[in-house]
Amino acid sequence: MFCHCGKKAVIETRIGPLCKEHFVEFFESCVFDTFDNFELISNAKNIGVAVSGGKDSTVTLYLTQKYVENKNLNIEIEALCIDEGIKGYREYTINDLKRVCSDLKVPLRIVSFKQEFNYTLDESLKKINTKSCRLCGIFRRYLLNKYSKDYDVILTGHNLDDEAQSFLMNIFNANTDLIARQGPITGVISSSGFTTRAKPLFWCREKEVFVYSLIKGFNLRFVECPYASSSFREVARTFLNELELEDINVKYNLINYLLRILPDLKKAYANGEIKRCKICGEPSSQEICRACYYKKQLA
Amino acid sequence: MKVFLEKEGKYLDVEFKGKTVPDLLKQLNLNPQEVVVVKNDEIVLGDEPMSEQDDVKILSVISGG
Ligand SMILES: [Zn+2]
Ligand SMILES: [Zn+2]
Repeated sequence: MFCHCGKKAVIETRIGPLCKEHFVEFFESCVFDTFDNFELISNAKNIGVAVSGGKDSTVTLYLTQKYVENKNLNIEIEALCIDEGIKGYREYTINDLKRVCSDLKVPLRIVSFKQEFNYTLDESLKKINTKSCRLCGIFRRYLLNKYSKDYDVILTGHNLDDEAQSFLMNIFNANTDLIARQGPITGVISSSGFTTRAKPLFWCREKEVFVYSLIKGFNLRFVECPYASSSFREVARTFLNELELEDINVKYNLINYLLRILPDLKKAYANGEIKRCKICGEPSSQEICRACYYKKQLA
Repeated sequence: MKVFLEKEGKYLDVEFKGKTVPDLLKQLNLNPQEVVVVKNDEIVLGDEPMSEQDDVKILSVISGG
């Protein structure tokens, strides 16, 4: 398979098969256009990039820095990592992360479950009877919210596949309110309680992110979270990837559809007061948020 | 053919019946959207021929965040 320039292709994209050089060009302009078109960081003075040591967040960090440099913007960038304390997993990705951040000369801030909750995820799971990924998600979100406040915008590594999977899952669960919170910039309520969250890789297929990180030689090792289990998301992923074999545009089409209905959904879910957790003050649908509820159980 | 399967962290001994990258993935029941095939340190796809002597790695696109 060959690129339009005649060289051997390394990946098939929605504009055809591309060689290394043309793919890098395509991928970067895809990300930079997302920054421009959705004004992801306009007016920001300091940005946090949520990082894990995985390919998505590493590519996000790298290209955010490149974008800021290209445009000569006066913006501070910090990498923010949440260390859940998962043995046999996080210590490896944090090592990769430290190397990447020092290569890019971006300051790295690590906040851990241990220091915030007194227990690592591994330890918490011995005290709380709930699914690992659920507890992990609740605590991660809590910490991300808490530390996001130090930045004007927080960027995450969510890619097109993540977004398409979430959209499908939200449809199957009839979670219209969650769909209203999707999109390249999230948070229905833009004023208080939420720092703007933005997704520079919004239009990038997961495979493209991976191939880009290979070409760039980020040298990230493959480690799987030991708690990873087959979930609804896996089913959605397999389903979408099988559809994509038939038509490379399926994820794009799905997300274009999402973007078409999103303004109305956001409007519909915009009014309504934000309820807050009585303990921590974070937005919560219940009197006490799930994070505080579980924190109490750990105490 | 010796194939390194990254996800499993081990070499497979594959009795390769086909000729190309898609043939190999089909035989191993892998979705081409979810893996990258590296032959002699180059990413390959499509009708790229594969043979016994090649050093083949199959990398997994999907990994945690
Ligand atoms: Zn080319
Ligand atoms: Zn709370």
